[in-house]
Amino acid sequence: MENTNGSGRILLEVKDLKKYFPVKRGIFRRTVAHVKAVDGVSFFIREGETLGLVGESGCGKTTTGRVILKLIEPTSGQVILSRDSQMVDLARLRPRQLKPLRREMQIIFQDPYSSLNPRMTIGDIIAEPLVVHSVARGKEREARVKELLEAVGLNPNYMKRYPHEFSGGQRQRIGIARALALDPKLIICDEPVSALDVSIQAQVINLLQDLQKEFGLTYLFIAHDLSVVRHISDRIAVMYLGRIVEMAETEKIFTVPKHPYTEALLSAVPVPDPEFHRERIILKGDVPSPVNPPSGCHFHPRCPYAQAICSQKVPVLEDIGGGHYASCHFARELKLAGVADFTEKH
Amino acid sequence: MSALIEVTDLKTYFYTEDGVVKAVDGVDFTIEHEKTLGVVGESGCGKSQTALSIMGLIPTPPGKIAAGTIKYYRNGGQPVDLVKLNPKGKEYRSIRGNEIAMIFQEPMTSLNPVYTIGDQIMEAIVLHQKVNKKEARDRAIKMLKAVGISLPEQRVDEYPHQMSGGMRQRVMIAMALSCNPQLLVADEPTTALDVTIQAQILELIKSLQDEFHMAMMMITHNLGVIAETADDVIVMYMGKVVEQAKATDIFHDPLHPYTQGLMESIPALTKKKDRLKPIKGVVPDPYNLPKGCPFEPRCPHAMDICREQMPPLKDYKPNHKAACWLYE
Repeated sequence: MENTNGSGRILLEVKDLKKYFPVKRGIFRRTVAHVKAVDGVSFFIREGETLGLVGESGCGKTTTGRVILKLIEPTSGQVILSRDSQMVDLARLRPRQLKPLRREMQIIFQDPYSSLNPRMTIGDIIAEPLVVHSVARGKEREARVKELLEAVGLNPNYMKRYPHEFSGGQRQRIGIARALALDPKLIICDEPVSALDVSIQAQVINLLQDLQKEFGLTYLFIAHDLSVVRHISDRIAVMYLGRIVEMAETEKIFTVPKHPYTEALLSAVPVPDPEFHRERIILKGDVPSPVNPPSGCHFHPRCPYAQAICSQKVPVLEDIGGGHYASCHFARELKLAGVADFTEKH
Repeated sequence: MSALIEVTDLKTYFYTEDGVVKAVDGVDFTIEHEKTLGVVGESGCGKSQTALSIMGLIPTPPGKIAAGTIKYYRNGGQPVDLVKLNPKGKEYRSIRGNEIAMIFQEPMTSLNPVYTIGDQIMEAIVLHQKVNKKEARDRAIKMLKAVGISLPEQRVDEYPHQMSGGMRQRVMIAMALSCNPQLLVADEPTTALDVTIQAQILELIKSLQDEFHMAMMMITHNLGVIAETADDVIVMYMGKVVEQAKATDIFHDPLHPYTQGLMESIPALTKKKDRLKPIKGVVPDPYNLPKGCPFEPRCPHAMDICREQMPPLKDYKPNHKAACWLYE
């Protein structure tokens, strides 16, 4: 088995999570509609594993990550974190009750340029979580910052420098060191390598994998680059317009996809081999607006296999065998192409 | 096939207060009629500045084409050296946007928000072709249809904010192709788009290239996009071409350690790699480039000579050039 990560114990479980943002109009700021950014998302992450969350811009993957951390209040649903074998629903906690739990969950942001305060030294940036949670002071704090810098492959003597003195890849390492400062269990990686050049991406991906092994971390890895997600994830959830349409072990998603959207995504990625040919599924049109999503299955207006029922009934995300979840009325019948089916050279 | 554009020893420098940045530093390449040249490289390697040099759009000052020639074979006749033309002069303006057109990375910011898309496409047509407004409008509608925009008669009067990113990129393409150019310079045309929309736009560009018989310069950092579109490829690093070959040779038999490093560092869609092999280190400071090969500090095969002297770009296999002392 390739997927060796994960002890089997569930660390985080998200149940029917919803986040609707109100759209306000007029002088009385009346709510005229809602953007259904996250519209009933359920999944779980086992301790020590990496769950990849993929989807195109506007599908709600970033909002999902932020709602889990309660950086955004959920509209409804549960976010259950297992802590010392106790289950705590974060969605119900007040800010004061939540604070000690924040040590367990951290985030790495996409843009290493805007996520570091340019007026703070990197020593102060990395020490800030320690200050906020009064974990260490004085010499002890400094020692911890040095230890963290070393862990992410930066020279500990850089402590007194400012973010502008570092390249994108180095800044992302600083962001990772900050996320590690409180010894978290879960790290939400929100497109951590998308802003980096390819030769630097690999360095950061390898670092994230090494740190996971060393500290037993659990990752929710949010990204739109399917090759990167395949490389790092044990399991993958595919999102479309606020809902998870498919979730399974990485190899299954890539070899035997069960949702037409996953199939189309896989076929859309350009492959770095000029002799590689395949039947490409070109989806019609754009992703519809989450203010007024299509009826029934959100994907039906673009789906090449859509039938009458798809516009009428919302499909349920259900296990169609061996932990392979799909929300499609025809998930069991359709024979969809995975990457292995189009690697044949013509 | 004959050459459409021949770039020889092009040097585009930027003279700033902190020193001289050699953004493009002695670049040679040829683009043939109806072929696609892929230009690969990471941010800051000079690929966009090479494109802007051809377009005559280098901001001067601080930028300046310090040396080199860009021979453009106009209508198959005698070549014109674009470097010698005044970028604001009449001749350059009759070429730019007409015979050589460009599409940019950001479909969100490259369109003017206060004009309808029809007005913006018609502007190029009226400027370059001898047609009246009515004909230009018909032509704009025809182009919108060609790039797959539904209801073009209505959408021609819409504003950019009424369209999605993919739609705007289609409008940009319609605008670029409206005068039937010989060469389309596409600078990261799909980078800002989602994969399913990227697939739509790539298919569109390829089919339009066949239909309009144009050559293309496809600039991107995405090796997958290069593999799908390019006939020939140049790989750039710190303002220099480090490798040049047919696309299949670049991907199947890369010679330069930088190209090899790039190929090894990307995760594959079709199979799971155990561990990625990154290129160590970071790109050098452009104000303070190494004396020899700019890739030497990151190169796993670096030798003494690499620190001293920049290797020449030479054929080491048939039609396959590299700039590396390893093969001397």
